[in-house]
Amino acid sequence: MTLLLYIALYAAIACFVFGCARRVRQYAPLPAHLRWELYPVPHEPPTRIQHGGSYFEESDWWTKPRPRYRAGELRVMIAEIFLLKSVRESNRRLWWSSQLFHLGFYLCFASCSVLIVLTGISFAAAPAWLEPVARIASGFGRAGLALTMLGALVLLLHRIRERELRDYTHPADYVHLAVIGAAAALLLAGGYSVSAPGALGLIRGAFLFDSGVHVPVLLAAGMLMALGLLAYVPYSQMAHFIGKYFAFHSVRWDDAPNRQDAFAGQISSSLALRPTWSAQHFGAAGSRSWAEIAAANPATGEARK
Amino acid sequence: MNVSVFEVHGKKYEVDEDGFLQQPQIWNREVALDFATTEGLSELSEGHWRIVQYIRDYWQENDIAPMVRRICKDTGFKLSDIYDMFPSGPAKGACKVAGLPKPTGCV
Amino acid sequence: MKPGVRLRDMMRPDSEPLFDITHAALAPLPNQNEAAPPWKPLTEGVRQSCECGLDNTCALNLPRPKSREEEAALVDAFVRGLHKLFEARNNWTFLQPLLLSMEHCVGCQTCADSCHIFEASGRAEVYRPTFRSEVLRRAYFKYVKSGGALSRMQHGDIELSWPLIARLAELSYRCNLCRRCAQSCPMGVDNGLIAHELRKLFSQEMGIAPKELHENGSMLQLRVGSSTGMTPRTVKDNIDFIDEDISEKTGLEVHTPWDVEGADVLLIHNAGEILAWPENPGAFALILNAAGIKWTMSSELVGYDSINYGLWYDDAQFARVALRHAEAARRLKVKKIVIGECGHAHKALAVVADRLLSGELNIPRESSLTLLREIVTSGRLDLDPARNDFPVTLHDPCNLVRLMGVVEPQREILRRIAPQFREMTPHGVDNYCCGGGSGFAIMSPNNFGDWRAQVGGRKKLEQVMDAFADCLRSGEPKYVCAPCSNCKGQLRDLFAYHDLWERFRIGYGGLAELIVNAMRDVKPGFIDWEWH
Repeated sequence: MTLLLYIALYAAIACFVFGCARRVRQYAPLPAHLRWELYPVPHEPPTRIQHGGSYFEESDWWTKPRPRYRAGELRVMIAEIFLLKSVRESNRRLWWSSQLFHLGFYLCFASCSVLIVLTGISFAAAPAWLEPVARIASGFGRAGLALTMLGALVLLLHRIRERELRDYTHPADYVHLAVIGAAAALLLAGGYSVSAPGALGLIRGAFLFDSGVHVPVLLAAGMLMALGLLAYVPYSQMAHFIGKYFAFHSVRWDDAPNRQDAFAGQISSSLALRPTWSAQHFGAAGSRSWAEIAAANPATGEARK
Repeated sequence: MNVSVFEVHGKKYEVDEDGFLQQPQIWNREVALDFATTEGLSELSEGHWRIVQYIRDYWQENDIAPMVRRICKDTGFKLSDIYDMFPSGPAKGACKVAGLPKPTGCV
Repeated sequence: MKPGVRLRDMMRPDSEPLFDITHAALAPLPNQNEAAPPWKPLTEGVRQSCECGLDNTCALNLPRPKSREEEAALVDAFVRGLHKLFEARNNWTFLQPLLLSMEHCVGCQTCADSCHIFEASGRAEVYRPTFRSEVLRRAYFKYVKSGGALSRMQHGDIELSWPLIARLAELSYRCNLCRRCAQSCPMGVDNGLIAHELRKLFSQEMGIAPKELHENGSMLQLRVGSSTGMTPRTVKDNIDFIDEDISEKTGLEVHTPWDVEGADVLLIHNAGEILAWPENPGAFALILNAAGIKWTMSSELVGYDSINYGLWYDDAQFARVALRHAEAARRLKVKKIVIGECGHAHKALAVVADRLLSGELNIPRESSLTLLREIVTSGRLDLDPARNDFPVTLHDPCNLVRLMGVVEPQREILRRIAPQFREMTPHGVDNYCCGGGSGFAIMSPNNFGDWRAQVGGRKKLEQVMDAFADCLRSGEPKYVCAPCSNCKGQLRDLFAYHDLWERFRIGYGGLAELIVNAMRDVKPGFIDWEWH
């Protein structure tokens, strides 16, 4: 039974990593799009960030250097990821539960990471501080599970009770929330089971494929549920953390000007593509490239140059 | 999409969605009086005609409505006078009565 | 909670409106002590022959199909267009942003409270940003992706039919593309972009677009040189008239240079300014000459009209006009293009078209607001702010602030030349659209003008009255500075509709006029309040 759990664990992780990579590969190689940024753009210098200004505010901006303040971006990302800043500012009612929900995840993730490191250390040595630190880390993990469970429950209630949310919530969304809440509850309860192996023991067992580790039913159920979720995440909206990265970095904050024809290469391959739009004024005719179409004049029938 | 018919004084005119005459070439003083009813006018004064004729003449020569400021300068009327005479204003009111197609662009 | 329209109502097989905005309880206005004028009703003719199945207004005048076969063909066309929207060869221009917006909405409704149209309408469900996007999203997952049972669970279901598509077409023209929703979305989803892409589908595949934007807009511009219908001959004639008129008015000799090769600056105005607000291009000519700038305008076709309506609905038209703008500059061998007071022209040429312009066409583009700031702060003009001693507020055009980041230059100028300048709330990158954005300012078919004045511009109306709350009934004239032609068109209609001049002496105008009004060398009274 325990062996099956280990297999499920590795399979789920592989599935998650593979799925995320697949999503990234979906977005990363898309052709360069036309600029569509949105201000404020946080990598602008401090003098402009206050009012959300761009380099267009500078006279002869193309003759001046364009410093980018990555710290500005990082600051916004941290506030967005850990404090759900835009939800807090524009949707305060929903923010409480969403914050708890996500904070729970972060605590679980942090806790697991620390525990894995500690397990690694435990193979080499057994310092006195290992167990106490592991217990603290587990404690954070349990707190995380509790927050996730609570957050999931409140979010579910929001989505069931409020018309404006209900209309835009799909069946799967309810299932996701319910399963997350249930998994968290099972893991929490299971972790308190009398015969639970303790986090270090479990992780060590996973590394060694030690079938001697006994996992109580409640905990096993919780683990299977959580692992199933993990594997499925990249194939659902729950993978919005990937999309969000691209949405902000590749679109909203992408104000890179076409200086020295930096984009000419990419754009010229796109301009060579042949679109198939049917409207007469578009003038695709099945065989013209974007470049030819842009040069044409549907009102006079002439081509430019 | 010319879908509307403007019925007035027993006559029917094809107009666009904003009520402008679709066939500017059929315009005459009678047509002007008919369209003047859309501005709440049952008759046109000498001042009205001066503006309408100016707009019509300019359009015949230039294929476009005259600048509002030109109308004022060349007819001697202030903008407020024009709004008094044509409540919808020079573009939507006077030009419509003069049988022009609706002015286009950000005007 | 009042029963509202549901998403599935979009699929209703009839052509009846889903709800009636003309009689809806709109968001209350604090200063309205009398009712706004009643809405113009749709005529019977329009109701019978056009698709008016959304909200009892009609922007597109889409003809009703005459047979089942025609309907089926239209649905097929839509589905074909839907696929093309997600193909690189057909939509490389916006594919990545669109895909990201399709796949990551979690339906949290954070965007809903940012949408001024949704709020102004009294929270009418069809104007909710996610309402429109959800329709497209479900269609995407069902018809473009694999669909199936799991997809239905994850994304919901939809059945494409002509009544739905007709409603969706109208609905894509109930969004100002202001992108406030995108600004507040925690996922980076852009509902404004989705409305934009929908419009593209309708135009590029099905040839459906508002007459004002297409036939009488971008096509007219490509045919004769300007969406106003002005040819090179008439524009030069009109500018001559303006030069003379402004010279008389100001006592300074004003002359506009045409087609000067090797000039530093090619200035391109929204040609509408020349016809409707001639004091603006006149003011620019005066200022640039007084500041010793080596500038010129271009009389080449399209070169004297900065507009680019394709930005709102069609990539081909957009690219065509943008390239021709750059071409006009290239031919004159100017050092930079300066875009006059027009919001969308800024965004089109300086931002969105940027990556399309390479080699000799990649001529630097600058905002006129930046140039004016440089002139005003350089001391080259002798300015007396006391001449502008009346309440002034600033309307921020979305395309300049949130979509391009030009926020401070206009404020630096106003702080110097308008002693009673006060901000609207909110302002800058958090501004509200005037209600005329994305082409609405020039669209008044049927009762759409009422929609613009009662719904689209409602938030702005509230802001304007708030900004002048301390002097609303003082009787002194008040100036809403709006450095954008489309915004001015909308404000003109909005203010006239709600009698703002008669009741509160609230007028509007551009920025250049305020600068000239403050110039000591100029005869006083440049701002003609009659032209409010």
